[in-house]
Amino acid sequence: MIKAIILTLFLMDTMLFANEQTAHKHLSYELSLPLLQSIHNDAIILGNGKKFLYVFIDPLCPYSRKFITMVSKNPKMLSKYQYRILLYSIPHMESTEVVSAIYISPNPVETLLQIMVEDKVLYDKGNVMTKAKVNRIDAVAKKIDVYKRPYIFIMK
Amino acid sequence: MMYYDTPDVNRYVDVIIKYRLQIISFYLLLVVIMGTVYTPRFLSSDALFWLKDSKQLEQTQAKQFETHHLSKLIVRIDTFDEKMHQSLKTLHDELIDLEGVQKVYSLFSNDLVETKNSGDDSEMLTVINAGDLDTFGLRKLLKELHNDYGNVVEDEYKTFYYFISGEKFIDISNLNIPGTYDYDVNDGEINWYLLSSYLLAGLLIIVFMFQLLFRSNVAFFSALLGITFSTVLTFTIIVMITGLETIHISMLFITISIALVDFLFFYYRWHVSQYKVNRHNALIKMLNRSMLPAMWTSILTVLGLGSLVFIDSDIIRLLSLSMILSSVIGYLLNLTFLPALLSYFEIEHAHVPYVKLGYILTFRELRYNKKFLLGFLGFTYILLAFAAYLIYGESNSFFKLNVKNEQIELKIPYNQIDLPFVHSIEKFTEALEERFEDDIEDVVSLSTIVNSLNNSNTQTEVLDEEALSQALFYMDLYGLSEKYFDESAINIVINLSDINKVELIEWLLHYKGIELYFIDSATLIGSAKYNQTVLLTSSLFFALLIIGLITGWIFHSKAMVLVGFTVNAIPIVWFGMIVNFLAIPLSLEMLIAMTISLGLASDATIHFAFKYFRFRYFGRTRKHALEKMYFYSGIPVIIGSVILITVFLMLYFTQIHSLELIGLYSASLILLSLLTDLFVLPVMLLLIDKFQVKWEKLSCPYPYN
Repeated sequence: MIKAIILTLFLMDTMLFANEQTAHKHLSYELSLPLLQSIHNDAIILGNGKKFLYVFIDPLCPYSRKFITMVSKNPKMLSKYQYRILLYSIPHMESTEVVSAIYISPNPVETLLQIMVEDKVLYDKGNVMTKAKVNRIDAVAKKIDVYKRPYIFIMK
Repeated sequence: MMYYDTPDVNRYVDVIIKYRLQIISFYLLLVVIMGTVYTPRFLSSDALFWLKDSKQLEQTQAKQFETHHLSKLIVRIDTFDEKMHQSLKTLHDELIDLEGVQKVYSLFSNDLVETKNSGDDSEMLTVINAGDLDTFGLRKLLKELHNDYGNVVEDEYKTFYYFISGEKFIDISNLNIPGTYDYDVNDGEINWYLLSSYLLAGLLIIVFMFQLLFRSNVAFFSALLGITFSTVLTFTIIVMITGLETIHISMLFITISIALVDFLFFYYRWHVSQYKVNRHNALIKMLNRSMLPAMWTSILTVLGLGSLVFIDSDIIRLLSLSMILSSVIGYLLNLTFLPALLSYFEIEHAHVPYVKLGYILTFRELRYNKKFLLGFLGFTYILLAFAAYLIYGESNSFFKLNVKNEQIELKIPYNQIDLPFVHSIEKFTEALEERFEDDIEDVVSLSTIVNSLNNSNTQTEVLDEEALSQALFYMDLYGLSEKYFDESAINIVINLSDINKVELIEWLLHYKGIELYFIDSATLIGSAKYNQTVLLTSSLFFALLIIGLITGWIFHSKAMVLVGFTVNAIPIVWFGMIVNFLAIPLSLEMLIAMTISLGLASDATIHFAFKYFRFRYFGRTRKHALEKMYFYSGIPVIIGSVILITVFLMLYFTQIHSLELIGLYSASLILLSLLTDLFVLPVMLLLIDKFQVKWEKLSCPYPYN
C-alpha cells in the first residue's frame, strides 16, 4: 500500500514537472546591443573577421570548450568572424578563479585557449579589476537573460 | 510517269552491263574514300543529342553553373550491425574520394540536428553525422525522426542508397562494396566488341533467312553490299554536308531498314522474273517494274521530310537526313550498282514457295466488312485526336517519365541571403509539396536546414533576421554552408519518391516565385525532351500530312491522300497509345523507330498501290490485282519486315541499353506496320477502287470479269 502511494506521488511529480519548460525572457536585439557594447572592453577578442559576435562562455563548461575548440581550430571561422568573448560562470561549475586567471593574465586569449582547448586549467584569486569585469558582465548577462553557455549574439 | 507507264530500259540495261565492272569498282572506291575522309563517330547515349538543343542548359551555362551527372548506387545487405555500419560509412568516404565525384548523398552525408546539454546550463546546438553515431544510436535517432531518411535507407536497414554527383559517369568497379549492389550502367560508350559479336550473329541470321527464302547466296551478298554501301554513303554525306560528326548508333538502323526493304523490291522482282524469262530480261523487268514506284517513294521521302531538315534541332535534322539520304542513295544503288552486280549471276531456283499466302489474304480481304473497317479507322482517328489533345492541350500529358527514388538538383541564384529570400524558398518548397504530396520524399535546401537549426536552437523562436544569422553561423561552424550554397546560388535537392518526372519538370519550368536552374544532366535531358515533344510531334504529324498529299498527287486521287495519311499514321498512333498507356519515356530510340516505321509504311503504300492500280488499269479483276499486288509487293514487304523484326528482336538482348530500346520499339513498330500493310492497306485500296464504276460508265463489258 505504501509502495503504491509512493509510486503514485512519484508519477504525479513526474507528470507535473516533465513538461515544464523554462521560459526565457528574450531581450530584443535593439535593447541587447547597447548593453553588450557597454561591456565591449571587457571582452576577449578572438578572430579577425568582419562579422562580430558576442559569446558568453564558461571556461569549464564542456560545450563552451567544444565551441571554442571548434572555432579556434577552424581558419575559416577565424577569418570570417570576430568573437568578443565574455566570461560568465555557470554557478555549479565553480569557475570564478579560472575566469580571474584568464582576465589577469598578460595575454588573455592565449590563456583562454590554453585552459579551454589544451585543458591546462589555471586558477587565480583575482583582483579588483577582474571582479569589476565579472560584475559588469554578470549584470548585462542577467538583463539579457543569458541562460546557457555558450550563448551567442550576432551583430547585424 | 503514272502507274500505268512502263519505262523502256533496254538500252539502259545494255549500258549497265557493258560498264558493270567499272560501276562496281566506282562504288567500292567511293565508299572507301568517303568512309576514310568523312568518318562519323558513333555514340550509344542520346544525352548529347538532346542537350545540344536544350534551352535550360544554355541558361544554366550562361549563369556559369556546373552541370552534374547523377548516378545511384543501391547496396543491399543482410544485417545492419556495427561492422556493416562502418563498412557502409567507409563506402561513403571512398565514393567521395573517387576522381570526378563532386558529392555523395547518402545516410552518411545527412546532418542530424539536435540540442545537446550536459545539464547546468551547458548547452549547444549540435549537428551529428549518421556515420559518427553507433548503430543503436542511429536507429534510435532515425526512429525519433520518424525515418525521414527513407530515400537513403529502407527495408529495415537492409537497402541503402548512395546518390553520386560527378562531372561524368563514375566508375565504381574498384571499390569494395559490402553485400550486393546495383549501379547505373554507363551507356555513353559503345562496347564495340560486344556490338560486333551481335552484328556478326545478325548477319548469320540474315544469311540463313535469305537461304531459306531464296535458296541462293546471291540474295545475301548483294543485300550485304547494297546495305553497306548505302549506310556508309548516307552517314559520310551527313558528316560532309552538316559538319555533325557525332551520330547516334541507332540511326544506323534507319538506313539499314530502308536500304533492305528498297533492295528487296528490286531483287525480288529480278529473282522471280527468272522463272519465265532469261537473266537479261529479268534485269529489264526488275528495272521497268520497280524503278517508277521506287522513284516515287524516294520523292515522297524527300518532299515529306525535306522541310524538317531546316528545323533548328540536330535530332530532327539527323533523323530526316538519314531517311532522305538512305532512300535516295538506296534508289541510285538499286538502279546502277545492283543491276551491274546481278548481271553476273543467274538463279537456279526462281520459284518462290510462299505465294499461297497472297491467295489466302486476297480471299479473306475481298470479303471485308466495310462497317468494321470504318469502325477501326474511326477509332484510330479518335485516338489520334485524343493524342493531339494530350500533347497540345493545356498541359502536355502525353509523354511520361516515371521515376522512383531519384533526385533533382537545382540552383537558385541570390544577391543576399536574407529573410525574404529564405521565405521564397520556403514558399517554393510548400507549393511543391502541396502539388505533388507523397510523390516527393523531401526537399533539401537552405530553408530546410535553416529551419531545422532554428527549431533546435533554444536561443531563438520564430525565424527572424537574428535567428537566420544564428542558423547561418552554425552552418559555417559545422561546415554545412558549402553543401547548401556558394557565393552566388543556393543548392536545392528534391528527393523524388515515385513520380512522373515530366509533370514535375513542367511544374518547375512554370513556377514563377523564384528563378531556378537545372544542373543535373538527367533533368536537363528531361526538360529538353519535354520542350521538344511538341516540336517533334508536330514534325511527325506534318510529315504524315505531306506524305498523304504527295500520295494523292502521285495517283491523281483525293482518296489516296486519306489512304496515304491513314496507313502511315496507324502504326504510329497505336504505338503512341501503347507507349502512353505503359508510361514509357520518350527517347531518341522511340523517334528512330517511328521514323523507320514511317519509311517502311510509305514505301509499302506506294508499291502496293502502284501494283494494284496498274493491274486494275490494264483490266484485271479486283481479285487478280490483289493477288498480283501481294505477289510482287506484299512478299518483299513480308520478307523485309520479318528479317528486320528478327534482327531488331535480337538487338533487344544485346544488354546495350540504347540498342535494347531500339530493338524493342522498332520490332513492335515494324510489326504494326506489317499488319497495317497486309490487313488495312489492301482493304482501303479496295474501298477507294473506282475502276468498276469507270468501266460501267463507259458501257463497256469489264474485260476480265
